[in-house]
Amino acid sequence: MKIKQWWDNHKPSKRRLIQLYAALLFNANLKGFGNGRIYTGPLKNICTPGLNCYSCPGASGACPLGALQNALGASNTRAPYYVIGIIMLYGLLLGRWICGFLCPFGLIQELLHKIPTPKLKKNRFTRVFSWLKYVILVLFVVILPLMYALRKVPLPAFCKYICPAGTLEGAMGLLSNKLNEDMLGMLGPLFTWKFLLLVCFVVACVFIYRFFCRFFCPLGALYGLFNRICFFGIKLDKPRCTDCGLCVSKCKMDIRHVGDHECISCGECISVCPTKAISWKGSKIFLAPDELGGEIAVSGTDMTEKKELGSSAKHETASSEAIEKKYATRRLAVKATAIALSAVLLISALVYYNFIDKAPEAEQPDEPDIGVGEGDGGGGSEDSGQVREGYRVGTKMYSADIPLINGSGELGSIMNTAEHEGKILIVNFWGIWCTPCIQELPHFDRIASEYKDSVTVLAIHSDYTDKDIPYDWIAEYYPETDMNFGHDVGDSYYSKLGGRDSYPMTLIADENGIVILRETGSITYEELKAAVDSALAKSASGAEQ
Amino acid sequence: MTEKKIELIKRICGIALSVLIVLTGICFITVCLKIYGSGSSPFTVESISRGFSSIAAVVWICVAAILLRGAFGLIFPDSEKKLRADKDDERTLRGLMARYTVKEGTDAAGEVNALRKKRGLIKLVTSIICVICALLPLPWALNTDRYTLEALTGNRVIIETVILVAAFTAVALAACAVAVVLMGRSRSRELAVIKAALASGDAVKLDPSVNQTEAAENAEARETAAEKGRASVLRAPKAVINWCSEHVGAVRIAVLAVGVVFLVLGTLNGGMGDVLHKAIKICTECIGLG
Repeated sequence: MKIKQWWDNHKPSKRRLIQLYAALLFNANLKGFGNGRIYTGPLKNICTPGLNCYSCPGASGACPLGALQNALGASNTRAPYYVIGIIMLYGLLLGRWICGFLCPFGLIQELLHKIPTPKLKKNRFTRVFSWLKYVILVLFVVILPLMYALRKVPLPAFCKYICPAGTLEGAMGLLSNKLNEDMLGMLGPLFTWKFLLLVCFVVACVFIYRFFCRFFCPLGALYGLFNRICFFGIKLDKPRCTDCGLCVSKCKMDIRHVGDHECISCGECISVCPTKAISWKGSKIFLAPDELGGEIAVSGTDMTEKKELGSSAKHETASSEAIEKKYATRRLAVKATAIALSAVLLISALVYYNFIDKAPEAEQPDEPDIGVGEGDGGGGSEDSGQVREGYRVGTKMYSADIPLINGSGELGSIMNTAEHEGKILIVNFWGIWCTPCIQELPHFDRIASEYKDSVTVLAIHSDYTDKDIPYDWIAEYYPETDMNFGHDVGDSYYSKLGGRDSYPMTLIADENGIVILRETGSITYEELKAAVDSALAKSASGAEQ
Repeated sequence: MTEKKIELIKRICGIALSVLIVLTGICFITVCLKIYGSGSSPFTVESISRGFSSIAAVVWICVAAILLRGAFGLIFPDSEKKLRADKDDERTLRGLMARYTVKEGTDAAGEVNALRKKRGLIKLVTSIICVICALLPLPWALNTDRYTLEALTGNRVIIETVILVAAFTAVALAACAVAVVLMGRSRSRELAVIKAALASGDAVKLDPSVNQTEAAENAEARETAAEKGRASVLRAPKAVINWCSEHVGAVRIAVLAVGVVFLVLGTLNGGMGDVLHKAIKICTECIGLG
């Protein structure tokens, strides 16, 4: 009996099941957790409705908030219609029902809140504090990316400095895989700040219901603007409402009344309303006659026809029973169809992402045998014949023909990376959409000018298509430079040199083309200088001998 | 075991669990800071394993405590508590004014009107403070001369902007908090005045079943009086909201049309490709790798 009572109190509700379903659907790329890679297929141009970091190995779609910031960051080249259109349609269709039912991070917060500790209840001050998320929306999601876009520097400010979903789903998801050990070298002050923030959010969520949702989530702030007009969610039948306040008391969000911009349409208030004034929008087609209190809606696709129940005459009782049966059958049919379609969608997604999809993963060559001089920067010319081509330290760097971009911002000649033996070659992979990449380009520029005679620097831009080549950007910021700018459509050379979807990446090869340094993530000027000086010193001592 | 004892044990367990959870959080933060402070390229498999194995005991104790508390909840399930509406003076006032009206010309009516005007003034002043706090940092933030490539990539711009906006946001939030307190006191006072008026006969009950027209007229008159008390700057947004509430269908169609047009335009101008291009690369700075 006690177990039954406990189960009745704690069994997963329909809402919880939908949340779990949505979390699985939006992270259907389960093989990503195993191979430590993110999904890179074409379906990632679709934004998921809730907060789900696209750097999570399991993510099957793009995060709308990250996409919005990046679109605003690129608004100097094209207007962000696509992302704004998607958010408007999600908001209009579902409003903050997304927060209550579809957001994976909302689910995580609710599960944390179930830990049985004393809880901080909402009050007038938490309601005032709930406006903070609008400040975060305006500052971090709109103003900062736009201001940076004026200088053509991308900055997803909210993702970079605040978002705990990125740290939890993206960073923890990737770093927990042994195959991504090299990413640990990229951790620094930013990760420390984000990890601290994540721990604070997690602990706060135990005591405060949906702490992040209520006070910090800009996506919830955006969707909340649509709550009054959205097609789906909670509605209040004002003539029936007696303003008893039970719904507001039951609700754990900072609502003033049901259905306002703070309401996440979880539906918990429906059962406590004594006059049944609260219902789901669009529910009239399913309500049984007695629940409408004397009125019923008949055949609810496009038109409704209201019939009033008459007195308790036998023939009217019989017809109302028939109508009730009809509605029960309809409800069952709609539920069964919805469950079947959802199951088909989920199974299809799981099969597609994990078995069928051949998304262009990095076609990395097999791990080559490490040749002579493993880890020490390569040997003399008599050793080079024994050295295999590869991308690891000690191997001879794979060569390729790289199209160059000249200082006027146009395509120039082709450079073969093998033709620069005799000089130290620094190859840096970067992207105009990648702030750390842009931050470190000046270091390469400095090295290129300081070691003009002995070093060749090649900065290769990652392009998805030919249209992504940043001619204007290079012409504006590096019109006169000793660096060579190249581009790599489809990341073919990047993959060949062991790149696994994360930028920037730097390789340094000595005069014999042997890889002496391979670094994923930002590199400082001092590290570059040390590697170059070391290679020059070895080559000088080799020449003396 | 009596119910009171069970509740007491649950409360004590809850407090102990809270302390443990906070302690675990502090341990995680301390370990992370320690690893970060240990030198260049501090985060390695060894340093992370070493650091977090030192707090493993605390973590396991916390997990065990959660499970124990869960088991205790299984043996002694929580009893269902009757839901009561939270005390809300604003709602109580609304309810009273729907059923009663204060006689014009009485002291009570004068005081009620004065309290309402005071609340209107508080709202106006708070709104002005919030607007000023929103507008003041804008000229500085939107000064594009500050945004050189070096300044942008060096985080200085971010830090300055955030500090400035945080300061003004704190002022605005503080103003709102003070307004909430003052409005609450004003409502409590109005509630007390109305209750006193009811007791002394200065307020009469409205009987909507007998005199619906008069009740409706009175309600309309009260609304008009309240509107007059509201400053015009606050009336305009409310009018817009009311119009939108009355024409929900039209607003939905407009938003739907704009959304679809934007989606199509975005697909045609390459915005969809931008989303894909960014989503298929690991955003290292988004996940803190940097």
